Amino acid sequence: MKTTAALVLVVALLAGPFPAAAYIEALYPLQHFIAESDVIAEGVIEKVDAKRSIATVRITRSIKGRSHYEVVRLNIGPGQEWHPEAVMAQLVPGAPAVMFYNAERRAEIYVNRFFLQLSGDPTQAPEKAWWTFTHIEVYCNRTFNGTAEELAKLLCDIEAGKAKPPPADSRVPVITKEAFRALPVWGQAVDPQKLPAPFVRHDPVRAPKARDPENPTGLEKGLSFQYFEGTWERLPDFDALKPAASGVAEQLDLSMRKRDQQYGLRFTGFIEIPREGNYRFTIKSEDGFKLLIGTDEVAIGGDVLLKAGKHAITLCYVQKSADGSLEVLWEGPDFPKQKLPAAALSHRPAQ
Amino acid sequence: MLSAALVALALLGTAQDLEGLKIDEKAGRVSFGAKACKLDQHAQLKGAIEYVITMPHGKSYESCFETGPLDPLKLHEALQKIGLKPGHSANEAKTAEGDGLKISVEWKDGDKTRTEPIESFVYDEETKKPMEKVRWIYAGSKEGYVPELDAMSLMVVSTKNILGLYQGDPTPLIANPAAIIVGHRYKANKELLPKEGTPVRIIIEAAK
Repeated sequence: MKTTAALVLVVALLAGPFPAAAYIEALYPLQHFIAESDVIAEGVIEKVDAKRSIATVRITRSIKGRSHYEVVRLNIGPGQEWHPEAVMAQLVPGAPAVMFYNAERRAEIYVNRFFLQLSGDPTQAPEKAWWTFTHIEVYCNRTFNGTAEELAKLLCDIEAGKAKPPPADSRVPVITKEAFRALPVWGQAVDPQKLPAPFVRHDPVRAPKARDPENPTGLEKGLSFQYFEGTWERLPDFDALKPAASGVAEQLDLSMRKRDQQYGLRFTGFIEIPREGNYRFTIKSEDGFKLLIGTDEVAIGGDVLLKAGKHAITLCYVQKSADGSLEVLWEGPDFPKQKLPAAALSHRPAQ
Repeated sequence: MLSAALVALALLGTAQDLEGLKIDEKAGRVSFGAKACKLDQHAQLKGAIEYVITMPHGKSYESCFETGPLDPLKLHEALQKIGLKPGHSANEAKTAEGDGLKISVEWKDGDKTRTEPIESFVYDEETKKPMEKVRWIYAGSKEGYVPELDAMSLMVVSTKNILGLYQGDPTPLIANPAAIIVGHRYKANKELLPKEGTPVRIIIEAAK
């Protein structure tokens, strides 16, 4: 079978706690998908009806177990947020993909370079069943990153005992709308160097090294901030701009803004890491932002391994329209997700 | 022992014996039967729910109540018959809008019939309390092609989720006024939610 013409369906009848409707936010290795699957199959996207937001996938072979379906019918329209339109643009007849479903007909399908979550109805006859799209699994490129053909081959090799499932890769950032829309559709030329970050496959995961803290002395509480005014479509180079105001912020919020839209903020200082381990940062905000530890951008929702101590932190933020909000959460090796406390933040006072 | 088990089974709601859709136009009330959902079916969800009322083969594993075999289009009509007007689901430009609803749950607790606002069955992780009383939004579900009907209709027919807690899903008929897109804020209130399968009656009226 030519891989270019193969749609790979990983069809999973899952006995275990296969991820349900919510996003799979936990690091979820491919082994989990396989172990929880009863059936793995291959197929090909056969028809795409953009007007009705539906598509069909023809099963060509089962990799594990036996698929109940000759044709999987996808109903993409009901998906969440911006996802249906973005996904429809990615569904191309002839394109390969990978899919998982369980006895309750909850499913994951891998198309091009991303997973989609779908749910079906086990009481429907296979030839009449529709699978309803929920959302793109925006965190799951940590499970596998590559093409559907590569995933199919890997799954076949794993089933044949020729390969081992790779660990999940915490370095892969969450898929954003912008990254997703920048992803070339199947069949277009792909320059691996120019793929959006969530679709870049890193070197095989090696034992990561925890980042050393700067641990400066003479710090005071709070973060330094610079406030800018302007209209930006994306984060500007704040170094090239003159701040309209500056000072010390007790915590990461927008209280120092002088108007409700068209402004930017840059917070700089240090964050106290209580003990060595993986830390995960979540930012609740409508517009653009970037978080750096030292000079490395932090993958929002991804893990960053830090040693105990004071690490340099920078948060850049822009607010285009009114009603902005900013909330920074963190979770660590021994505490659950919570608001980043002001007590963990400090800055070097101006000389 | 066996007879006790049979009695227990008989008390649990099945799709067949749950009350169907009822409209009391005079009282301005719509009601239908449902049953308490099984909780914690998926350990990964850590008890998080995204819906409060779902239909069979909807996302009942992250919901409090599953209806009997309800036609969501009939429910939509019923709500309009008592004078309610649907608005629209959330989209990238706007949060959900529509008439305000009061939703109550009635069930047998021993010899007594209890009635509680449906919010009481939802635990809010942010406030660490049962969800505050709200005016639920009769959004009316996103419209689009529904392959099950081969027609343009309400997408709730496909998704089978009646009352959603997050506005990121535009397909439930009824939305939470808190304009939250996605998250893990809500869980079922295990202190109040009756045992799995317990039949309940869900009552929808216009919010005052």
